Amino acid sequence: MFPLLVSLGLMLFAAVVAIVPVAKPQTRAKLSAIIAVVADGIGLVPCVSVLTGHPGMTFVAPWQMPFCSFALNLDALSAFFLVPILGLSMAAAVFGVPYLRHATDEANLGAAWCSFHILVASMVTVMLAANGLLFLIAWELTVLSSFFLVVLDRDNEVNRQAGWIYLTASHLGTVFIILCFLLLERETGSLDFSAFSHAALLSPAFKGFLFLLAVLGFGTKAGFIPFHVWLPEAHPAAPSHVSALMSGVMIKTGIYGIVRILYFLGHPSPWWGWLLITIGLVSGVLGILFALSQNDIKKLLAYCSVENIGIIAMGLGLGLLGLSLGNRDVAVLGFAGGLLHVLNHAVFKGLLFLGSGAVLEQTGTRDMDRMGGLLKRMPYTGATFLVGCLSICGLPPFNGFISEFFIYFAAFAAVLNGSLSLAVPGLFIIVGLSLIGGLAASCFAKAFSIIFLGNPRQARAAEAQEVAWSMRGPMMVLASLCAVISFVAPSLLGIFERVLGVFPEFSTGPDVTSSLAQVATPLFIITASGFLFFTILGSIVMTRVGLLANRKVETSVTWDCGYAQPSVKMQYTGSSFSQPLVELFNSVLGTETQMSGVDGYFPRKGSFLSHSANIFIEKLFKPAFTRIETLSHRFSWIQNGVVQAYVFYITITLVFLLIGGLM
Amino acid sequence: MFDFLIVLVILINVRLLATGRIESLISWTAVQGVILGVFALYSRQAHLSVDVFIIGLGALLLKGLVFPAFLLHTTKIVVTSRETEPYVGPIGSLLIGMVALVVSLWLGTRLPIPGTDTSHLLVPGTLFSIFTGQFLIISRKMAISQAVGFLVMENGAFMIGVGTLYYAPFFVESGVLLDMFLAVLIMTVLITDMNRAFHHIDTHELSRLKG
Repeated sequence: MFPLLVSLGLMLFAAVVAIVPVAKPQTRAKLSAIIAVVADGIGLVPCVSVLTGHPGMTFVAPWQMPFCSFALNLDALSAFFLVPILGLSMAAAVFGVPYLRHATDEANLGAAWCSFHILVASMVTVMLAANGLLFLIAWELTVLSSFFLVVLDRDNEVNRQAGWIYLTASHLGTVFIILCFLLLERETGSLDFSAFSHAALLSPAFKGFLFLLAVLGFGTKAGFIPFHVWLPEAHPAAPSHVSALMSGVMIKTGIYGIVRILYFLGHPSPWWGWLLITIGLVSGVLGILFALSQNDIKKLLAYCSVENIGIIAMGLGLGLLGLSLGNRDVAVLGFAGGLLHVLNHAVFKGLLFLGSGAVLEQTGTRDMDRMGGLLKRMPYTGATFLVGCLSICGLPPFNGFISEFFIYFAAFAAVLNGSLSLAVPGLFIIVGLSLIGGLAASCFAKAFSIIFLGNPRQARAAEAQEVAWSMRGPMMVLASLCAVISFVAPSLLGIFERVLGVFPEFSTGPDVTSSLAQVATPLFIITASGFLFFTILGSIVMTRVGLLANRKVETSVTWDCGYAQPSVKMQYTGSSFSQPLVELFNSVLGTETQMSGVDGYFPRKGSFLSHSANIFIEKLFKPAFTRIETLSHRFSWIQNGVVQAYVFYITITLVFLLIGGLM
Repeated sequence: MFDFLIVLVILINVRLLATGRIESLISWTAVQGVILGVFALYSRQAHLSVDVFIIGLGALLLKGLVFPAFLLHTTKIVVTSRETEPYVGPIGSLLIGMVALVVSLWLGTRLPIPGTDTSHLLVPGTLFSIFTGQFLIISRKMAISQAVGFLVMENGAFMIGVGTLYYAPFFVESGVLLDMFLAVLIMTVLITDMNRAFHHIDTHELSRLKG
């Protein structure tokens, strides 16, 4: 535990270094980032050691806070979530130093880094906290520090709006978490997590209610549809390395919360699984559909996070269903798939957001339709982005495929071996995952090709250059991790044994190992095929390089049926690429298009505009909040701005309390 | 003697409720401050040492001279009208004051505080001072009356403080007086600033600041 405490201390120290005006802002930023990287590195050591089979650790410090104890606990589950948090923070810190230099002015730099370090430290504390109140304090710190990062570019009205939506949504979610913890406290007598595990003995109906509260509360953070509305607003607004952190790991704290609560609640009811699977399917399919219709690269990635959270929820839901219906294989593989996707999504979504940051820095825009042709100008960024795209689509041989494979395997096991109540959701998941996979492939084919292929659509894109090595480095490391995780997947099975071993439901009954062992052989085949793929790919590339050596390579325009004046405007745009699919799903997306001017044989100036409104904000939340606002306006006479009236309220309250107390 | 001083304080409170002029408000507060200074010295005569004496004298000087001087000075600078411009007129104020006095006397019988054996009027007197101060704050528009109301409330608290404790550490007492001093200082500065911003010290103007 000691290294983690040191790590936390160093992070807070880095936060102080970032704001104390002892050196130039740039120097302080660099210094604090270096300290943070060291802190992350130190913190990773105990996590890896716990995951490789060493016993968990606890730490309790004396603290005078009522209802609270400063109890930290590192078990395999915490360690599993801590690894991506610390690892991605490291990459984001390195990337952030040169990135923030351009993205914000010097006056903001200290505050940005301070919030960044506090964000990481609070996420680590959330994972370690073994007391409800400590958890909530750290949870709140996570929200606040990331809020400051979202509104960092505060001169921009859109960002301020995004910040408010984020803050409101997070706090509404937190209400449910507080309620859940308070009920657990009432039933178990303490806010300590060690006491919470007695909740397993409660009645199924009450446990179901607690689970529902957890899904509402933590689901808001995770970005389950329809509580996802803050996500596509807040993630694009934050600086890209922070978006990577928020999308890659911060929303996973919501998943962690749900899993942690599940560990307390003991044997699940089947409807819990159904609920998560439904949420997962809806979030997955709608998330990727919304992503498909976006032209803003960071918004696309943010919606895609909703989709991936959906996949994770499907895995966990299938696991729960397997557990409640007594099918051990489905349970183990479902949970393992969901959890592995947490790790994988952190890696490739972190990579993609960093990539989008690099592109944003060079082109100055998030609008994909103003980019193009960047692969030639930014080969490293392009190549790593491609790896990220392949992984996120769940294509072999990269890591995204592995976790989806686990979930597919669990779903097939459910369909083939399970009863009807297990086979039907299994079938839904297979169909849903396939649909999501296809749409994701289309979505990222669009993202990659519009940004990196073709010719630049505007001057800034044409002048783009490869970014600094300290920005390339983290992307390259993450890209190689996408491949490495998939190659070492067979050896990760032991880790899941330990992570699931924390779950009381899995520590009794048949062995987890035998269930996991089923996927060992297929995984080995996948790994071997991956090696084969890379060998063939490598040899093809080598052959090409060899053939082209000593030859003159020319660039020319694309063959255009003899048209004399091709222009960059003739290229596919993001909207036109996704148009067929967007039209197909228009009933869900509600995309509005405006076209004018193109008629006759010699059309003059024409224009085309497409816009996908956020239907959940427009149709669900806006009316609801407007209603609340009108209602609360009826009470606005209380807040009339007269000082005397306020003192009067206080006096009346105090007098009544005094008289009431003395009656 | 205790009862006599407390009755004096209560009567001054009634006078404060009845007055509509800022100057008289301030000067009657000054008289109340002097009486409380005497009260402090007298209540501790059995334990009179150097620091108790300094505190008593300090309270007398601050409450009786310094604070009123500050406030009068501010009034001279800023005030355009000499009225406190009450929401509640003198008759209404007096009626409410009577109700407050009755409630205070009743509460005094229900509120057993150890050390109040010096006078059974101590708790009602204190409560009445606090109610009066709060009423002045609530019912008057001119910002000076808010400062006076605060002083009257504090006077009440001071009374029960010295009436129940035979001895409080020097630092605590001097700290309380220093707080008061700063509070009055800040209030006068605020009032001056308010006058500069609005050309008036009607607190109603503050509602214009609402966003």
